[in-house]
Amino acid sequence: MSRTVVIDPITRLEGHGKIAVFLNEQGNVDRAYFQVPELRGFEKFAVGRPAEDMPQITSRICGVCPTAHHMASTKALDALYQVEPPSAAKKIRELVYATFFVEDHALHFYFLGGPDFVVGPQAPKGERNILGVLGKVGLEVGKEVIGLRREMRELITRAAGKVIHPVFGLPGGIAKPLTQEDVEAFRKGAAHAVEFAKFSLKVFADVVLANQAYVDWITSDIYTHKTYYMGLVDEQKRVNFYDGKLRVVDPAGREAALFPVSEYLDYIGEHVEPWSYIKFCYLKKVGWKGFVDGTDSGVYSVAPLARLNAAEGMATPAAQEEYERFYATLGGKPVHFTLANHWARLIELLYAAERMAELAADPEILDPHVRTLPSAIPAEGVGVVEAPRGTLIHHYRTDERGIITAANLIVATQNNAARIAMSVDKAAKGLIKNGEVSDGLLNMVEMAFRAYDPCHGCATHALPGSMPLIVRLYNPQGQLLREIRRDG
Amino acid sequence: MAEKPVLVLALGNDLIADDGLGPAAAALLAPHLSPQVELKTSAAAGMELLEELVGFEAAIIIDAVKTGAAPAGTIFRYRLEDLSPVAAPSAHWAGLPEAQAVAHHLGLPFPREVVIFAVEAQDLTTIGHPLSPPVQQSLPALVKQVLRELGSSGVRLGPSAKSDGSRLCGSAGGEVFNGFPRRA
Repeated sequence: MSRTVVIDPITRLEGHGKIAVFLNEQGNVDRAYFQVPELRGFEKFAVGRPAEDMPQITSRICGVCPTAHHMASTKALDALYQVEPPSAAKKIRELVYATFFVEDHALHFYFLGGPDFVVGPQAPKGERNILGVLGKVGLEVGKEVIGLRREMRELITRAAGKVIHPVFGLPGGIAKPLTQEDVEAFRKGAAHAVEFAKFSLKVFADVVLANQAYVDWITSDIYTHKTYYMGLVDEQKRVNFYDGKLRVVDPAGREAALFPVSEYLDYIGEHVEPWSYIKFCYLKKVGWKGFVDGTDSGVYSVAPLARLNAAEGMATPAAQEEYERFYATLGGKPVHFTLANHWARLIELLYAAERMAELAADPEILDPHVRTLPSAIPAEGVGVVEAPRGTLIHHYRTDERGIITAANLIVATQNNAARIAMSVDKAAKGLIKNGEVSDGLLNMVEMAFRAYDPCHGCATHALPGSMPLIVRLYNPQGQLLREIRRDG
Repeated sequence: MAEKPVLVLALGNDLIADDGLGPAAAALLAPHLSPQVELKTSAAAGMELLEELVGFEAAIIIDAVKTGAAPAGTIFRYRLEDLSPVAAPSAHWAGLPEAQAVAHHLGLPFPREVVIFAVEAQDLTTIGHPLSPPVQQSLPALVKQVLRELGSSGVRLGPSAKSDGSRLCGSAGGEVFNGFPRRA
């Protein structure tokens, strides 16, 4: 392939959830593309701003993951100012972050993943929504989800100032220590969260795992890609959301890399395709071989399933038990089934809840010393966290006054973009034959990317209702043959 | 009755071009609102809005929108019941209809009446850009419409205009269309 990529804005596929399918002369799929819209202009916007504003600014980029951006940015500032936060500050940050994970993962399972697995992939379209989930698990559970989320959000507000735009992360620590009363509230919330996570795993076992048809869906070839996996791990190579090294395993589960995020540019490359604004991340040392899986292809994946695959276990006891059951049930490590993300997400929910409880029980969390004042001259800093949807990297360069001269973000969906594209392509190839489109196409495609829960530019998603999913079929001459929409 | 029974919820992110419509409209509206009206701005999406809306008797929502079927700056007015909930494929795509449906199912006190003012946007993806000129120009008419909706007392929402599902017609800027244009 030529190294020069001509980018013609007219030929780019823009818009939300837009899938373009190009057919060959026989009416079979030549190639299918899924366009993930992406926010643009961040790098330019960041230049010239004081670095210490970045945790506030970046948390406002996304209405879904503000806490993840705030935390990755705060950690980039620690690195930029070469300052090590006091132990209590790190623990409080992680406590807030675990609380955020509980809130986000609970929402995803019941409101977003639920339609596929609690209601079932074959259920009528009208039932495959949150109301169908509530119908099956009961209204009390729905109230419980809402109640748990409110409690988690109140806890984040207590520690971090605000939920939507947290204001507590500072280079070298956090803005204020926790009080005894705060810690009591976190302990109570953690106990509630652990109980809820265990209940959710029971729902999954009863409704999904006990149903062979659902298990067949999870393990079907159409949702299987044998790629590399990446995630943050602690010193014992167990899953960690807040800190650690990035670990990559190959499709056979062997360790392929273990590196501090400061070296990410040596490991992660970004491939550009003419049809998308998104940059497709790949493993530099393996190389970009196109949208294919296998050990020779640098395509990798992030998010819950990838984190479990990239680690050697969970750091909390009940989550570890579930982790072992997960691999025993699905045929050993690594698991390559995209739809197993839903189960992996619940195991992480339990880990996040247990970790909350551990941190809230740690006496050091009440230490009032929560900030190390930075004194070094800033130059460059990289920060990383695991966002609910996968690895999130913030990278800033500044002048000696701390004014940003260059910035780069790698968000979860970029890490996953190549594999998402492969899932959509595979579903299209399986469901379009000789120009005939199977009715199941939209469902199948939707299920694939719902499992990844890709991030999008978050602007204006409240209206008008959900974004329609659109599939456009083109003939080999590039003429539009047919458009299929899902508006509800 | 809640101390402030009516909510004006301005949605959007002032860092992202035309998504800043909500906060810009909120700043213009603030001095004109009666004490019974609570004004909130939020950059959150989807189910998060449930928590913003619960507890109010009536609400007006302001947001930018991209229907692709009208010129930028076009103002739409419609009611929440004009929209049907669909299975949201991502947390980023869950919308108000889902929030309302969940609230009703769970018996949460969701506003009885929700009126939505939406302005067709030009650019919703460029971080750090200001409002586009057509969206900027729609602001005075939008503010006027919202205040008219609230009524002179500022407590009751006015009767809803009939949404006949008719096709969009007319030009951008100032005119208000009832209901979203539906593509064939």
